[in-house]
Amino acid sequence: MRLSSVHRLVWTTVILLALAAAAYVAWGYPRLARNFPFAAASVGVALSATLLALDVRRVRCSGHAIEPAGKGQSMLLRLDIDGTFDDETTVESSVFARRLAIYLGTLLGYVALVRIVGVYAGSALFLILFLRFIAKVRTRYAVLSAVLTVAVLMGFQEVVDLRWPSNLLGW
Amino acid sequence: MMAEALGDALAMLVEPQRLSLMAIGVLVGLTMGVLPGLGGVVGMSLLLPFIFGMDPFSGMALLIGMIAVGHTSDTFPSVLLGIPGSAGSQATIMDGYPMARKGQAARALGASFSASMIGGLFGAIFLLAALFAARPLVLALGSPELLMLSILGLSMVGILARGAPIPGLLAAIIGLLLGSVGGAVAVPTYRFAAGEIYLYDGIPLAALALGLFAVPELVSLLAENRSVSKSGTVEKGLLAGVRETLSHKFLVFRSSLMGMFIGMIPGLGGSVVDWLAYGIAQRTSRDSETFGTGDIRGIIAPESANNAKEGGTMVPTLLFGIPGSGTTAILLGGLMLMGIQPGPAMLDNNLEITVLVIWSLALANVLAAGLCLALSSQISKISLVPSKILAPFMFIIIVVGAYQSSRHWGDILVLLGVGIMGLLMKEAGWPRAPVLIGFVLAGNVERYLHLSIQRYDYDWLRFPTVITIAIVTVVLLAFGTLYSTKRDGGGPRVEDSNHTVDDEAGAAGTPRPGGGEA
Repeated sequence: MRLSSVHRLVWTTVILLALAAAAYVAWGYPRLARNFPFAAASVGVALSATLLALDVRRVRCSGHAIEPAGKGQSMLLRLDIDGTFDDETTVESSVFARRLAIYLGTLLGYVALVRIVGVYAGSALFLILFLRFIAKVRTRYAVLSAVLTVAVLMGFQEVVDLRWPSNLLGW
Repeated sequence: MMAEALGDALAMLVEPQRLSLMAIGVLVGLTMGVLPGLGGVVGMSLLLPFIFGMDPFSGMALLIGMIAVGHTSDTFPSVLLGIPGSAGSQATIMDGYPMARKGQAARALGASFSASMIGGLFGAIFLLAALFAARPLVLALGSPELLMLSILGLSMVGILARGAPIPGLLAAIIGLLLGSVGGAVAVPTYRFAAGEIYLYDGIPLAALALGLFAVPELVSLLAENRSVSKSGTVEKGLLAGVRETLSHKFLVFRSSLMGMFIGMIPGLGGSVVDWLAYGIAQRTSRDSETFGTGDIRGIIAPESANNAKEGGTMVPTLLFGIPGSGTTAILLGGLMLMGIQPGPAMLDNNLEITVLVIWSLALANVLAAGLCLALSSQISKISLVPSKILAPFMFIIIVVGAYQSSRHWGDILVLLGVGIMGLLMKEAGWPRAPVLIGFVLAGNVERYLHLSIQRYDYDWLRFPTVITIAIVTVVLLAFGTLYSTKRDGGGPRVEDSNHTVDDEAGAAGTPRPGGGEA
């Protein structure tokens, strides 16, 4: 999927601001520590400003005006609707974007589980929930997969001396 | 004397006990390569305790067996999942993953393993030839030459950003800035660390690479709700891949040669050699517009180079005691544990050990390629597994793998942060590979620039070697630009030059495939 023109403007602006912040921070370092990151960030600011200008011009040339969000419309939805400057931005792509967010959320959820209950319990729980409710796998296969995965993780810890992240429960 | 040493070392290596130890090393190396985030350093750390009490020949057979083959099996995740198995297999993704998505995983793997094997054999032969000739060459490379070689590496951004020059350059700059996080080169200052001790050593490469490639690919696959192979099949083609490697003899040869020379330069090789080989292959090949969309040459070049590199890295390690990477640093430690002092004596009193290293490199590569070829028809079926079955296991592997970078929660936060950035870049059509190139070269560029100016002021700009490398860089850039301009008819190309990976699906006007609801 490609971002819509408006999303792309937002993305380029974020990069521009991040690079400007990096240049500002780098300026505060001693000379020998400053030169390299400041030079890189400055070039980046110039390039991202150029890209932003080109994107803005492209949006203006497309002849579409950005309407304010309607009542009850979320900002994200408004951007989805307004972002239809390119024919690539279709209804499917907004559904796709939502799916991306959901699955990114599952990864974040897994990390949160690991943080709370540790790698073994967190991985087992995550696998069972994911395989059962998202992949629609039968419960016994989901449980079996979780058990085998935890066994493999334990085996690796023994053999390769892998370490696991600490967790809040101290397990 | 050399012929006698070759015979004696081979006789010692083929003794069942040493051959078994080498095979164990090979198996460990293959396992480390397959698992993203675990690389040569983990493998060496695992094996090192076992060499206590071993004679040096057995110990070296074990360790070299591991070192030689990590870059053979790391192709599996790169091709089948679009996840770099190790730092040396990043460029393989560029064409390997698109081939897997076309259902040509077996062909890609066949070409990759055969190229790896031939590259590894070249590396072993090169090490043999270089033992007596390399010393003046290695000593001739000072900081100005190393700086220019790093800039040559950075110029590869031009290729990877094809059709999107400004986003490509911006991606490289983001990589350079991420690479400058942590301790400054010249003064005791910690940059962009925000007071976090975790960031004082910089951002770990493995966590960054997994975040940049693995997270976006897995999340996208899930959102598209399908398997890696878009066609839903894995065509047979293992032997066809092997034949294609053999038919690109010159490409294999020059990529191996490049890998060997780059490997010989301490600190430069590992993460750069595959990109250099890929970029130069693309710039100097006919019909290069297919690179990045599943061109077999885009696999053969980096795979030949990264295995050949291992022979090159042994030159400074064994002859001068200079480790070029974390893996060879542990190897040096292993040698010392066995009572062997690396240095000129490796060509004299310890010549048989040095020759055994060469034999081990050669045999391990043959063994690893054979094993991988034998297994790949089964393993390539991973590309048929539906994403919703595959992804949860991969999430666990990448989180656990990223954590092994420095065994700190920061590794996982880096994985997530870079993963979100990678996903946005992918969706914005920005190439992601330049981030990695900028990241791995940032330290080298800054360090060698600083050293060059401190040592030579600006006189180094007039060094013949510096001028030669600069000319090579400019010629390659100009050649690539002219060729792509001619090919594209001067018009801009809009594509995700990094990925390919998707993006027929994301191409303008093309409806997104993928059926089921999330």
